[in-house]
Amino acid sequence: MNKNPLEEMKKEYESIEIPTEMKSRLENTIRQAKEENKRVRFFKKIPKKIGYGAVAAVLAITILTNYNEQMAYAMAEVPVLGAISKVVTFREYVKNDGNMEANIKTPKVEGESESVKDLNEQMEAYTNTIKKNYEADLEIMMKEEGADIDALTNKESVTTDYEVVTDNEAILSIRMNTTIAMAGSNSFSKCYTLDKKTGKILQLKDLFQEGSNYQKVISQEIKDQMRTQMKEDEDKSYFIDTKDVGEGFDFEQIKADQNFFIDNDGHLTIVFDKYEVAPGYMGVCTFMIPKKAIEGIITTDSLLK
Amino acid sequence: MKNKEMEEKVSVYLMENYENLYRIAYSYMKNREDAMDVVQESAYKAIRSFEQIRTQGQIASWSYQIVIRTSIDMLRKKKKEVVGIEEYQEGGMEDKYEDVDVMKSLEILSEEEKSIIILKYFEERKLKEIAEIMMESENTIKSRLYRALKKLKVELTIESGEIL
Repeated sequence: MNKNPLEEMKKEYESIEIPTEMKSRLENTIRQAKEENKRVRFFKKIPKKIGYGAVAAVLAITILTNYNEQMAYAMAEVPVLGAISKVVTFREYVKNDGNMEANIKTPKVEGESESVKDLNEQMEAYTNTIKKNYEADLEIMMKEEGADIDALTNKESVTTDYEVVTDNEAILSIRMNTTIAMAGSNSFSKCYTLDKKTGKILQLKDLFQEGSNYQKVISQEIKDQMRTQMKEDEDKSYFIDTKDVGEGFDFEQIKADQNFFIDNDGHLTIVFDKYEVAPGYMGVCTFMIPKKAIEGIITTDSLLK
Repeated sequence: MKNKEMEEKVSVYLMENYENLYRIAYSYMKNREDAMDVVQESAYKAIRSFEQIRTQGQIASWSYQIVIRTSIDMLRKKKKEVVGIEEYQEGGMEDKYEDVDVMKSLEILSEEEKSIIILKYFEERKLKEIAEIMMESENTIKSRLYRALKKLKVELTIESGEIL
C-alpha cells in the first residue's frame, strides 16, 4: 500500500484551520455545562424520600379558611380535612448576604390530626434542608473567594414558594417550588398529595395496583408525548433519541417516587425538575397522563379520572 | 471530591485538544460554523456526562466518540449524505470544502470507514482505542480498515492515473 496519498491527506487534514473564535466559544460552553452540573448536584442534596416523621424538607401549604370550621373538623376527626383546607405561611426565612440571598417560605396546614401534623413536619423538614444547603453554600463562598461576596461568580439566590394545586373534597395537592439563581438558574419542586378521605400522604405507587409496572407504563406515555411535541414544534427538545452520548443521558424511566400532583379534575400530572429530562431552556417540564394510558393498572377505587 | 476532579480533567482535556476535535468535526461538516457547533455541543455533552468516564485514559476516546456521533447526527439532520460509490460514478462532486481539496477522496467511504481512516492515520490512535471509540470489536475495525483502504486504493488509482 502506497502510504504517500495517506500522508498527503494527513497533511491537508492537519492544515485545516481552526477559527479564532473557537477557543472562546468553547470556554463559554464548558463554563455553562459546569454550572449546570453544579445545579444538578445541589438539587441532588435535597432528599426526596417521604418517610413518616422523616426530617425531609417540609412543604407546607396552608389555606386560610374559617378558623372555627377547622376546629370543628379537627374535633370530629372525620374526615381529616374539610373540603377546604387551611394552609398558611408558617415561617419565612429571608436572608441577604451581599450577592447571596434566600427567601424560603414554609407552609403549614391547619389541623390537629396525625396526618396533617405529619405533613407539616415533612414540609418543614424539607425547607430546613434547603435552608441548610443555602447556608452551607454561603459558608463555602465566603471561604473560597475570601470575603469577596460581591464577585458575580458568588451570586446565588434561593427562593422557595408554594402553591395549592388542588383542594377539594377528595384531595389536597401542594406543590413547593424552589428556584436557585446562579448566573443561570435551576428549578425544582416537591409535591405533596394528601388523600383527605384516608388521611394518607400519597406516594406515586399508591395510585396503582400492587406489582403493576407503573413506572414503565407512565414513562412510555411520557416518551410518546415528548416525541409528538418535538415533531410538532421544532423549538422543543427533550433528552430522548439523542443517540449521541451513550447510556444514561436519555430519559429512560421515571423514578419510583417521581414528583406528581393530581389536578382539580382528577388528572395525574408528572413533574420533572429543570434539566431532569430536557435542556435548561425548556424549564420545568410536566406531563399530564390521560386515564386511558393507565386504565389497566390504577387501583379499583382510584382517585384518578 | 472525586467527581469534581473528573469533570475538571475533562475540561482540561477539551481545552488542550479541541483543535483535533475541530478537525474531525470539519471532516464531516465541511464548513466552519457547523464544525464549531459540533465541537461546542460535544464539549457540553462531555462535561455533562463526565460521570460515565471511569479513568482519565478514557477521556480521549469518550470525546472522540461524542464528536463523531454528533457530527453524523447533525449531518443527518441537515440531510446531507456522504457520497457513495453511485454518486461518484455520476461524474464527481463539486468541491464542498472551504479549505481542503484532497479529502474529498474520503467521501467515497462509509461514515464508519471514514472515521477509522481519520482516527488511524490523521489522529494516530491505536486500533484498540478506535475499537473503544466506535464500540466495535478490534476485528471489525480491522476488516473495515482493510475495506476502506481497498476502496481508497481504487479511488486514488483512478485519480492519479497510476497503478499503486
